[in-house]
This record gives sequence, structure tokens and C-alpha cells, in this order.
Amino acid sequence: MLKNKINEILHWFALLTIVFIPASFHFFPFQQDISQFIFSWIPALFDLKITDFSSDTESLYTLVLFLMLISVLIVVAHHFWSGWESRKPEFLSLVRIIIVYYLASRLMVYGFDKIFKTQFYLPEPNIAYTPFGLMEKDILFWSVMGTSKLYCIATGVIEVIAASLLLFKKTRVLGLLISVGILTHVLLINLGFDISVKLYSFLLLFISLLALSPQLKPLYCLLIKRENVALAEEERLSIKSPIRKSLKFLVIGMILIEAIKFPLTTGYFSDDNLPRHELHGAYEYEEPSHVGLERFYFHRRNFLIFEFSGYHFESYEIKFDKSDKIFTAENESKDHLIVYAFKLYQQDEQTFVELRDMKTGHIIRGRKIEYRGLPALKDDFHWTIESYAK
Amino acid sequence: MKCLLATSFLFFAFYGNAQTKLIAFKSHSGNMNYFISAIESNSFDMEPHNLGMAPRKIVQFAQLDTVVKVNDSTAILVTTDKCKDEYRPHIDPSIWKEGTDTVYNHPLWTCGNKDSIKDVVKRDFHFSNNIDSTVFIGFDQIEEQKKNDQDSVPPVLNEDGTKQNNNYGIPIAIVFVVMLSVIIYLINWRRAHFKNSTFEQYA
Repeated sequence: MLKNKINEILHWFALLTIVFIPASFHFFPFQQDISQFIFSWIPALFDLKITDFSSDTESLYTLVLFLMLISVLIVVAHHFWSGWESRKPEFLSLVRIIIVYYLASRLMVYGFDKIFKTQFYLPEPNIAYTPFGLMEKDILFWSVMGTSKLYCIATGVIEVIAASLLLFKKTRVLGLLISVGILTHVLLINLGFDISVKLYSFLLLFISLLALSPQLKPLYCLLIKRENVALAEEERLSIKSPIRKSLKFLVIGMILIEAIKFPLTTGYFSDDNLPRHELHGAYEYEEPSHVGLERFYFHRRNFLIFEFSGYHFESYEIKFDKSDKIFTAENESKDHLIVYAFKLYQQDEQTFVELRDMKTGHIIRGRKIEYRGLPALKDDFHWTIESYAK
Repeated sequence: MKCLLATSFLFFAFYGNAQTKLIAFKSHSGNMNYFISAIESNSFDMEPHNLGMAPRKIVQFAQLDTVVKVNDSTAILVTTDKCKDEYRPHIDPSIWKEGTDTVYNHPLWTCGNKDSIKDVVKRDFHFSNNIDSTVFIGFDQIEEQKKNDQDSVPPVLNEDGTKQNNNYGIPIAIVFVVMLSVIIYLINWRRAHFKNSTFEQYA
């Protein structure tokens, strides 16, 4: 009796999680707004610093706890509805179908993000020049992953295979088993490297185990006890076959479009090859500076980063004027705004940039360094140790 | 070249690398003292990142409702945002913010007349509404048009001066998937229908 109730609570919790935890859906971009609209009182109630339900915020943890509470209340309310018991098996089965498709969509998206190198992207120049020991584990892990095309593509392919297996009845159990393995690994990485997707990866692992739950007993009997047992029958929607097949194809198609939106919108298959602005890169400061400026970097997402002696970095958000090669640079405390005119030129087969402060006339001159030539960013491969010495 | 320069920077500002807000902040050597304020104000490129996925970049397709000319150096633009989840490399969401924007000594909005502004906006801007529906207040109907500095507006032109095509990759893919699912339905329906009628014939 209690076991059934807990099972029901977990199914409701999984459903509410899928509905209200904001994921970045291309076809449903309003999930964040809907969750924010319904539950905005939660962060306000606890006076939380960050009020949006993004990855690993206190607000998100609180929301998840609240969804669990709602799940318990729903199950308690079912006690007073006599007709619920007859509908319950159908509901649980429907939730498991939703879970499987949700899981497939997430694995497909994460998988293709890895394949196209949009998840673990090539480290930015300022990161490439930051000493190993000065970076926290999360950015370090993310950057190291971004240096290996092979690893990204291989892990992405495994995730896409698992997602594909989930979409078909015959291969669903195998897909779920691989998914549990993948998501356990992901959770361990997030915990071990202190990456701020801990809660969401835990939730994904939880729902994959929930979807697998009807098969756990038969699998135990089959794999451990070596008994000859059949796996539980997979659920399917109780609607007419032509409609079901058509609907299934439509959903799979949408999941696929969601996952491959990067090449569809850019025409590129790897984020590494996406054109960067001509300014993008690392620059060695040319003149000796009284302020200790050593290098500066242009980050692909519109940041200018100054590096001073002692590995002290200062980041400025830049906005380009659309005409005169001018940009504004604003520091993080938003109390310092510089307007720079910039000029790129070649000299002695080297590229230089000149940044002129429009207000003071002060000029910063930098020589471009080919940061992609750094050892960590080279796509080298050696079968033998001798080849390292060549 | 100018256009390419301007648009190319926007280009890689829009196609994103997936990360969490924290990693996004650290990736540009951000000072953690300002992390919370960056999230609260959705500044410093915080908004698109979440859960380590490729970002869902919210593009503000602004609807230009009203342009009010205060004096020769000041104009107020009243805009309504239309958030769309599109990856459009040539539209910078930071250009237009929802509400009112006051511009000073702008070569287009404060120096142009109503007709010239309309011409430039039609050609070079991507407002979601037709510019003819925009209300202009305080503009004199001067016949003689001043020559506007075209470069002062956000260019959406290719290097060769042709207008950029919008990206139709996703809409085409959606239409393709929907059409195929309809075909699959019809094939299966026909098959089921044929089976039933054959069975009745021999029953």
C-alpha cells in the first residue's frame, strides 16, 4: 500500500519536474516564463538572491522541493476520489511514456551539442592563457573537454544512440540501461568537478530509473538469478495505430530538429569552425606599461579582457558601434565606460591591433598571438611514445 | 567590409557555446564579486546559458510603436519587444530594449525627417511591424531630405550590399517533418482500411 503511494508520488513528481523545470526548448521557449509566472512567489518568500529558476540556484532547489510537496498533496487528494484507482495504471503508464520521450529529447540535445562542439567548445584565448592552478574545477573541466574533438564527438554519439534506442519499443529497455549509465557518469562528473548542473543531472537520472522501474525485477531475475523471465510489456498510447504512428513520427522529427538546430541555423557542423571576428584572439601588449598590462583578449561573446601582471584579469563587456570601428567597453561594476576606436593592421607579417581611448587619446597597442597554436589546443594524436619526441 | 565587421561580431555572439551561467561568467575571466548582480540584471551575457545546453538565445524582435522628436538633438523611441527563440546572427538584442529609448544626436532619429527615417528603417532595420504603422510625433514634413549617414544604423546587409536572407533551415525542416507525418498517417490509415475491407469480403 505504502509502496504504491510512494510510486505514485514519484510519478507525479517526475511529471511536474518535466513540466516546470525550465529547459531550453526551441519549440517551447515559454517554459521559463510560465514557471516564473506561477512560482515567482517562492524565491520572494525565502528572500533568495537569484530569483530565476536556472541551473543550481537556490530558487531551483526550492522549486523542486515544492514540486515534491505538491506531488504528495495530489496523492493525498486522490484518497478522496473514488474513481482514481481505476484510472491510475493508465496514468502511470502515460507518465512513463512522457518520461521516455523527454529523456530521449534531452539526451539527443546534449548528444548533438557535443557532436557539434557547442557544449564543450574550444577554450577562449583568455582561458588558454590562464594558469592551470588558477582556474576552478568546473571551468577547467569544461575547457579541457573542449580541447578534444574526438572525445566530444564519441560521447555525443553514445548519447544520441541511447536517445534513439529510447524512441522504439523493442529497444527501449536497452536505451534506458545505457541512459542510466550515461546519466550516472554525468552526475558523478558534475559532483566531482563542482559543475553547476548537479540538481538537473540528478533529476534526469531519477526519471530514467523511474522509467526503468517496471523492468528492474525482471532484469534482476534475468541477470543475477539467471532465471528465464520475460521483461515487462512496454507501454504504448491507447490510440488508433495510424494516428499513433503519425504522431510518433512528428514528435521524433521535432526532437531531431530541436537537437540539430545548430547546423540548421548556421550551416556549420562544428562550433570550432564557426567564423570568429577578426579581433577575436590574444594580444601581447607592445609597450611597457606603468599599469602592468601584459596581454589583452577578445572573447567571442563580446568581451575585452585585460590581463595585468600577477595573472590579474579584468573583464569588460563590449558593444560595437556599427560603423566607425568603435566600441564601448564597460567594466563589471558598471562604473567605468571606455569608448575605443580600434584599428587592425599588418606589419612584418604580424597582426597588430591599436585601441585608442576616444576620451583621453591613450593608445593600447597589441601584437596578435596565435593562441590556437598552444600545445593544449593542438589536435595532435600519437600512437607511439616515440612520435612525441619527433 | 564595415557591414561584415559589424555583423560578424554579432554572428558569433549569437551562436552559442553551451554552458551554465557560472561557467559562462568564468569563461570571460569574470570577477565573482559581480556574478550575482550580473545574473540579477541579466547583463554580461548571462541570459542564454542554462543547464549546460546550447543557449536558447532570446532575440528581441522590437516593434517600433512611436517615435517622438523632442528637439533637434533628442528623440524618444517607444518599442515593444517580441521575444522569439531564433538564432539570427544579424540582429543584436542589445540594440532595442523594451519600453522607451532616448537617443541623443543620432544621425538617423534626430537628424532625419519622417520620410527618410521610414526609408532607412524599411531597408536596414528588422522591426517586426510595418514602419507605416509607426506613429511619428514632432517631425516636420520637410520635402528636402537630409542625407543620412547610413552607416550609423545597424547594418543587415552582406558585404556585397545585398540584403541578408533570413535563415529558413528550421521552418523548412518543420514543414518537412509535418508533411511526412501526414503521409505516414495516410499510408497507415489506407493499409488498415484495406485490411478491414478485405476481411469483410472473405468473412
